[in-house]
Amino acid sequence: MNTILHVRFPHLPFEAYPELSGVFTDITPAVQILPGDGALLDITGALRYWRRTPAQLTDLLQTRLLARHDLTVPIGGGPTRMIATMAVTTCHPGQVRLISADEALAFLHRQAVRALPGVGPVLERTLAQYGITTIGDLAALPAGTVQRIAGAALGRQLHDRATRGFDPRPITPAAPAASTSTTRRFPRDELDPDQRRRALLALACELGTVLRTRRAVATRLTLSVKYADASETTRTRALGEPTAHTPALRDLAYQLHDGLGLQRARVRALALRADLADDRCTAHQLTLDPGDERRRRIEAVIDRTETRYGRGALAPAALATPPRARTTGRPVRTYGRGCR
Amino acid sequence: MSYVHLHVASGHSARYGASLPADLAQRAAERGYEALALTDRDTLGGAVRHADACARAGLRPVFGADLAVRAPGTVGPTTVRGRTPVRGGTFVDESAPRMVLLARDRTGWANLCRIISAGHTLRAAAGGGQLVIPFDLLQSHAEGLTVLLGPASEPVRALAVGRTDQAARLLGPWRETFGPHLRLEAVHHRRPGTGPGSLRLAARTMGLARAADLPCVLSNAVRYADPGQGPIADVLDADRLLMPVRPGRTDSGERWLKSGADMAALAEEVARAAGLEHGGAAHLLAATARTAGECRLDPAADLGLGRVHFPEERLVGAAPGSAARVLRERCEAALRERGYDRIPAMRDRLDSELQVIQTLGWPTYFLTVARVVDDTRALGIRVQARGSAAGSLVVHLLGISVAEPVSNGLIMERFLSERRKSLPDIDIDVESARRTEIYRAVLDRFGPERVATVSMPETYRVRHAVRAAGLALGIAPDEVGKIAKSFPHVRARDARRALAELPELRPLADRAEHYGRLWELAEGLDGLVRGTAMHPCGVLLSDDSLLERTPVQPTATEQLPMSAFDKDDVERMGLLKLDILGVRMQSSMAYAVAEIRRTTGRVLDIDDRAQVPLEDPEALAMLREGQSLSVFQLESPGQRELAARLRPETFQDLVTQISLFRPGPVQADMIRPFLDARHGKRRPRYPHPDLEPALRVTLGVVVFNEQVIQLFSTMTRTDLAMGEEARRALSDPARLPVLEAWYRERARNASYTPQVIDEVWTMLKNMGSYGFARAHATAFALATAQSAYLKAHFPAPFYAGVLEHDPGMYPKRLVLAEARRRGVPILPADVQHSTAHYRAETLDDGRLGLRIALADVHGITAEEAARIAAGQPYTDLADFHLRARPSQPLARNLARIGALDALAHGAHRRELLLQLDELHRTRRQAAMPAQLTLTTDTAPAAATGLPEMSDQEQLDAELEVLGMDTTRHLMTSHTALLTELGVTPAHQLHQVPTGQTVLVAGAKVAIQTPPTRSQRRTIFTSLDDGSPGGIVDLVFFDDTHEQAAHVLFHRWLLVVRGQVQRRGSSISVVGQRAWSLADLATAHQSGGPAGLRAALATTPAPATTPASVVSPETPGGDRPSGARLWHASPGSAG
Repeated sequence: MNTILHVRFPHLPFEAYPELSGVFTDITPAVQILPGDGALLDITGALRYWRRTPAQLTDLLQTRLLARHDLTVPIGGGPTRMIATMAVTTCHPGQVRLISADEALAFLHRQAVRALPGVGPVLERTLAQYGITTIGDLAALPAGTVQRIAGAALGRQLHDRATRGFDPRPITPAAPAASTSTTRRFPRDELDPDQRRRALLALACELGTVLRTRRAVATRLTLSVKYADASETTRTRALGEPTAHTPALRDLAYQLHDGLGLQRARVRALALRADLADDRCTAHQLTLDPGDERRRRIEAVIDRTETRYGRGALAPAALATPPRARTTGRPVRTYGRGCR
Repeated sequence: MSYVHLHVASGHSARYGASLPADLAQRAAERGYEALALTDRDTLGGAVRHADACARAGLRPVFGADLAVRAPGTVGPTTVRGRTPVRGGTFVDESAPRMVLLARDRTGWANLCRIISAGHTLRAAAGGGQLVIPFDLLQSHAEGLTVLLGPASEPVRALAVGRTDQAARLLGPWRETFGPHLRLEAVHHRRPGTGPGSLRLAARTMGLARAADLPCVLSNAVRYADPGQGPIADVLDADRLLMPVRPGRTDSGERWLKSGADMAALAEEVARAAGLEHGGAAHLLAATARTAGECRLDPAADLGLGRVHFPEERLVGAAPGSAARVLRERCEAALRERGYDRIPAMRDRLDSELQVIQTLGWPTYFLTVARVVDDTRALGIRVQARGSAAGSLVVHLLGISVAEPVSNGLIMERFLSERRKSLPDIDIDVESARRTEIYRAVLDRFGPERVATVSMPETYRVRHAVRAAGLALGIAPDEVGKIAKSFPHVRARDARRALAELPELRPLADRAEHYGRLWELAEGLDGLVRGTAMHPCGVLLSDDSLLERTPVQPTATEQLPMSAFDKDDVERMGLLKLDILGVRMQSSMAYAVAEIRRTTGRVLDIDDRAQVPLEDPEALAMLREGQSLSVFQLESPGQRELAARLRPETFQDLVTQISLFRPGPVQADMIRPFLDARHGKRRPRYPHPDLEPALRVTLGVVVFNEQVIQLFSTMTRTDLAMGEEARRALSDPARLPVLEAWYRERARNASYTPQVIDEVWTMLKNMGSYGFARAHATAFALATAQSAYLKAHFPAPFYAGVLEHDPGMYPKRLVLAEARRRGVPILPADVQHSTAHYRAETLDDGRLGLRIALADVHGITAEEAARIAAGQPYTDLADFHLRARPSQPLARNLARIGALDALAHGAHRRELLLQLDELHRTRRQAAMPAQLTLTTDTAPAAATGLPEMSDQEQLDAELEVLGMDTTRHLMTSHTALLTELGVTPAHQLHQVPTGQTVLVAGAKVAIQTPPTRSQRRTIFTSLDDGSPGGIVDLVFFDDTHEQAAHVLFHRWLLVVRGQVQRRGSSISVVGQRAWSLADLATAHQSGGPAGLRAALATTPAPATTPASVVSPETPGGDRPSGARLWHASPGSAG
């Protein structure tokens, strides 16, 4: 029987992940990082190696995380990923909950139906109208009924999961996808499209510099716009060719922004995220336009200047003299894991 | 000649002007002006108030409007449709150029009215948007109008971008149209640059005028009366444009009503900048004054203020000049027909009334109203006069009012007299559901050139004001929404007072500082106009000059013409206003009568006294038991209590009761003396034997207006008309001392003793102006008696009518609970039997049951309801789904409330849901939705294994979908908990001794904070506990509000501890403490008896955490979604 652990640290910045995964791989090689959530560890084999029970090994993990990273995290464990995840959801930081194979099914049936993978908010509502609120309720139904409610394929899957706790998903050791993002918050609702474009220009410049210094290129850009009512719009588009060239990033950012057609929207923040690739695995299409060549050469100069004199030493004129100093907020940057 | 402000917007410019006309006129007078213009944006609605304010302040009024205009030469709206924003919506379009039109004379005013009316018609045809006047409309209506082209006009806009050549060319069409009455308007708001309000643009405007040889005027484009009100203008801009104030685009703060000296200084600056130092400024000011001087529109002569304009006599069936004769003939014929002609009192009364009417020259008025009433009756709509008009014999004889005045002791003078020159009011009550039919009939009869509905300005009250200010400040929308909703409906100017005084706002008040200027800005919006709606009942009738005196606009929903003026303005303009009030009870009664006929075949005429006696013993017995819910005028908790104490025996008792429970009698403490006298605890006392005839009917207590009139006239030996004048003076504190002196002198001369004089004066003064006209009460009491009769004898059709046409102050579920309690079988919603309407249905045992309508099913459309009803009966679920074609959510809702049980063939509701989902999927996949599907393989019921819905789940579904508990009372699910607590049910309260502490529980059905004698805030609430006793009435005095108010206002299911109190045979509970029943139930479920004790012991809300301050609607599980389940009356800050 397998033993899977789910460790949760949703609020940790992405740059901490490589360090953390060191602690995990010391214990078991089967570690899957879930960005923005935590990590999954398959300790089935490690138990023999360490000659410990799951509880003892989890204890060790807690101790090492606290000692090396000052982290107190909740850990859930069980025979499958599904049970481990459900177990960790019931824990508060520092708590450990390990579900043995014998009690797994009873534990599973006590959980709310929403906890079952494959049940989203819509299906949850539908099931509630049928009087199905726990996984146990669902398990009590004949397979045919579940399929009538949820459709044939999903119904069969849900039925398997609910009645037997069947979850064959393996732990695949993988690093999180690399990305980097920058955010600009506005101190008040920003309705002026020009101000928003200025903010986007600044974000694109910053993103370009970051990419080039890390010898990475962007394959896709994602623009998220946050509004006064805390809602958010997100648009993603792939670049024509993977690039770290600021004008290309800027133009795509503008396109994404213009595509929203915002007029009275009360924008509170803009964020630009780039999905990264290694710059060695990309090609650049040459053009007959000498301007493009010049811009790329200037960019190199800008990069060198910035390395010497600091960020923003050489910037587009539109950013140089803000007409109203207060409207441009301080950029907030977050980094994903870069390309190695 | 001195300077005159020619461009002034008042608070009547919706979401634009920040000061009301009265304030503007007062400031103008204080600042030494002799005249003042009012040029509201897109409306003339402030004109009458401006005229009156100017008259009071001693100013000469100038009238005009600030309008958007479509540029000469362009045809249609030139909107380029851009991309639809993914969020936040599009900009509010205000791009059209603007101009100011001033009316010089009567023709100008008429043209202005026509221009605005035509503009509104075009706007309605274009489906909304900005009100824009096409230029060709101006060309045909330019006579009598002066036009000012300011910074927002097209030529001056060209100047702002430096195109002098283009500006000169653009002036061409204007010059052609307006000739010598074209003016350029320079505005100097000390803004930088060359945009509107900048010195450079003002100078360029002046330069252009000089080059083009046009007069140039100086204006301040005023938006507010005083300096410092700029931020209010910003908030108004934000609310109009629907976005927060943007830095750099705020108001200049200069647009106040500056004094003449300030304006002269500005003129000097502009002239210097234009290079015309010598004489330029004087020229500018002189042109301004001259332009104002040319505007000679006289409010009295030209607007028709203070005169009356009846429809032409031929329209009411009289040859010109013969209206008086026709009126007399009609009245005398009616007199004979009703057999009154042998009663001398009747003849004398008729003669005297006709005499007064003729002297005042109003026979046409009465014939007009009679015409409207006749037309209404011809449509088969129930109609009857209300108000003081019911006291007139002429009104009765014309068939307008039903109650006969002489035998009911009603007097005419309350309604009209020679001493009162203003038009009397005849208000008529009609069936609410058919009001627009009457409007259309009136329009057809008198023609659209004489008829319009009256508008009603919607002004900022606290909730809207907070929302607007919050938007302007850029506070998050949901946060502002929560703040706004936590306020009761009070005036905006009371925002901070309400924060300081109301206990349920205490948590918000603690955080008030956090919101900065929000409160101050919100208060600044008080009373300003934010939109215009159709007045719910006013129709105005005039001669064919109506459209020359008022602009009209089509209303949004009904497309009826609506005047720009509100009801007070209309009265001042001497337009005949007829109040056609939609009364839901009249509709309900008409519906009940139709249902009686449909189910039993019996044709009941409730206006026939032989069939429906006014003093029906069973109906009166029912009222004496306090069972007056849904009975017209007697349904409020106070009236119900009073009915039990007063124990009405006669029709006259109903009249008295309706009048007693009013602010006047309550404040003058008349209820108790009256009840004591009535129940023989006290002999009726009359201050003087002379007064006995007037006061006998109410046992020595003054209740009616008519009695005040009679007391005055008896004590002062004057006629009743003088008495009415004295009664009116009572309500005016300024006239009170004069009145008292006059009264005392006359009474002394009539040789009354000082004690009598004093006693009567106290009675009269206490009464003040608050009394009820007996005529009005009598008209109301008719409907009361009729509805009580229907309720007592035909409960099922009656409740069907009440539920069909809205139950008034209580939620529908309470009406249904009462019907159930009174033994009416409630038939649940069922697609085999229910239609879109509530119906009475004959059961197998011959009784009538009440069938729930489909219309109340959440999310149903009128088409769907009609389709379901048309397709009945259905053979099975598939048949229903195929032919009725319900939407998926609707079908699910129907299944959940059991409306499809009849088609189930053994399947339970959840299995039906599953079958519906599959049917829906099949239908969606079918190529042609309407194609017959041959196989509907629904699996056998037993195989699904789905759990059945529990009783509680069924009840929850009913509350969620219908907003009513149709199968059983909702409190039954809490029986166990309530028994454990030892809660006293309503029907056992009468066994509890007075003063004993009890627990009561129930669903809140009404909550009010009415004005009381003590001026202290008292919360009245009623709980429906489902017991045979029905409703528990609760009173919370202000010392309990600290802990109880929040729960009372924001929770629905309540448990209350209080003391039993008795007044007469009525019982109420004086509340001490309130809990949310849902919270207690949760605590009981999770923690057992110990948890319950803990929940009872906790100090209840107002919660201390800031989060729940702003959100009184913390999830508590007792806020059912969708339907409105209780009634809340406007609260008061005091």
